[in-house]
Amino acid sequence: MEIVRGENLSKFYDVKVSTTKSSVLKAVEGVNISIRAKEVFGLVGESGSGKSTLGRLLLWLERPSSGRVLFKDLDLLKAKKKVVKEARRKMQVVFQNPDSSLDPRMKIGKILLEGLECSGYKGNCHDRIKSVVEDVGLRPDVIDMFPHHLSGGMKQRVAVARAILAEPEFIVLDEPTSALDVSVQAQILNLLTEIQKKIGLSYLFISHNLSVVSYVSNRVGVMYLGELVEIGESNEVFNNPLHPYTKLLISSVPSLYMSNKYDVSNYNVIHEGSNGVVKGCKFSPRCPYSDDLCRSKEPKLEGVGHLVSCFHVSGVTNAAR
Amino acid sequence: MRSLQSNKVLLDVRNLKVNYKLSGSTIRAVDGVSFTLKKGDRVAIVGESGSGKSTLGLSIIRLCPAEITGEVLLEGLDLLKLEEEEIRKMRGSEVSIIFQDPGSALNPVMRVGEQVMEVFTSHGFSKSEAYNRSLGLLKIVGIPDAGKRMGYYPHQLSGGMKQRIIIAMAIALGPRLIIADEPTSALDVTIQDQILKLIRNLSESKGLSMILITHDMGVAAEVCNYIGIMYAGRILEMGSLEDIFNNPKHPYTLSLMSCIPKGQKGVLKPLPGNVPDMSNLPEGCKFRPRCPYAQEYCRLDEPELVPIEGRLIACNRVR
Repeated sequence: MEIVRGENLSKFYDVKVSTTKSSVLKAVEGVNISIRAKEVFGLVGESGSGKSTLGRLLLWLERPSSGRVLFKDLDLLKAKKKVVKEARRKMQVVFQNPDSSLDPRMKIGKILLEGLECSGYKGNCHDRIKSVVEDVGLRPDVIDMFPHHLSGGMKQRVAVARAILAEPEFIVLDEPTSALDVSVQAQILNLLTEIQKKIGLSYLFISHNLSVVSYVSNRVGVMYLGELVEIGESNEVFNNPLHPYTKLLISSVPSLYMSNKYDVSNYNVIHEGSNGVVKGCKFSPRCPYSDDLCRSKEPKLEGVGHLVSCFHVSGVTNAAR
Repeated sequence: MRSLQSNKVLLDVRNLKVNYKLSGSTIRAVDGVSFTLKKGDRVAIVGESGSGKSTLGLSIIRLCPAEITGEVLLEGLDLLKLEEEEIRKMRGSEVSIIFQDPGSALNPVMRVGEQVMEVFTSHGFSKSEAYNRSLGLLKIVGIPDAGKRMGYYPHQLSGGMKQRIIIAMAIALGPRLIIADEPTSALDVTIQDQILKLIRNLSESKGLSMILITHDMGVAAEVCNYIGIMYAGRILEMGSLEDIFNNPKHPYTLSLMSCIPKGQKGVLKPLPGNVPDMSNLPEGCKFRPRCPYAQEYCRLDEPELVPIEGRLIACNRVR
């Protein structure tokens, strides 16, 4: 079963170059994504690749420039305001930095209560808060504390508590552990996995950290300059990457444990940046396999189960082997 | 333990202590650190935030506003005893430093070429000499079209390019030691990979010694041949890359390793609790409150860093 689907999603921003001139930044372009019930979908890519924008589009925090978002087959663009509001209660978010996502002048109890009340929860709010605070591994007395009384890991637990209070079915986790130390990161990752299994909800897990994503995700999508270039089962993508960019990404991770390294010495190192207009495949300026076809036509995301957008997939895999 | 160049000791740090005085309390950011670094070796200081690893790096060339005691011997010369004017001359020519964020380490209103040239002109080179040497440096650190890039301002360069400029400035005067403080933490993985390879190649080809400060075990493994694990101002375990990563012995190193996701295999075993408050440290062993093996004697006795099986360990239990 499917929880959220993005169809042909694009988001373009106008960027002012000078007082009279402006240019278009294509943050997300033509993305099709489907997130199933009870799965963790990992989204990886470098900064500026559009991961967070895609997350915000799926949450309906931002309106797409084109394309549509369906939450359990409900088209959020066409549906009535009231229905959309109802649907959005089932979607929550945890941001990277709890210092900016928690109001510094509110007590934790009030932060949690506010979210719960907005969600239209029918039961006893105080009991619900108490039990969720316990679920995320916090002591009950944090309710009377301010965010600055808590450590980074504890603050992130509050942010997680706020997200699950309203009994959502889908949570976007936007770099939820990037601001934390490794020992605390491990605590939060385990907490998130536990909650997901217990409640049976779906995550969109956005991170630039490949080891973290491969640890938590069932399926993975790889983004490059606003486009999804590869989607597949996490095992498949990390052990048998098809797109040349995914190979570069995996090989670049300095890690003790990721042994699947590919020879990437023949890749071009110059990054064109997201503002440079690239004709054809956006990765072609960096790609060692690019030819005239890649530079003139844009490949589509194709395949069954393991999808990739590259004209050279069979050639690429053969060369790498 | 393998040594790359020679057995000659370049840097000998003895009982280094750094105290930050705050109103009413003293933060012991570095609390009795001792280690030696041989010529051509690269040591990584790995630790979580607040462990004192950056302060350790800065205090070696006296760049932190704090009370520093102990000895920092660079080929026998105690850097802590030098006059301010003398240490200023050492910075850049003998020991240089690479910071984390290339955006804030470069002057935004000055062309990058001038900034590299300034390193030379302020150490007595003529302008034309400085220009030629700077141009050569930018080519060494892999900046394409170097002549043109000399006239660029920092905002016209990408993060990776800016870090290359910083590295060029760091190696400009041929120092013997480079301290790199999280040099790639602000960069994307593909760029990080390029910069780490550059740093490693430069160190190998020039026989440069290096102290790399990082929170990322993977980065440490990529660049260095020695690893020191730091916690609450102390080094808890230090040894060769193979020893520390393949056979960690200190309970903290062990827990740190089990916190790192290893793909889909295995379960993360997080450390309970948080990094300690530096103004209110526990008695005895600093790691005791989070240590799964802690005993009563760990409370009474702070363990010293002692050699065991070819490495250094500070743990009462392992001893």
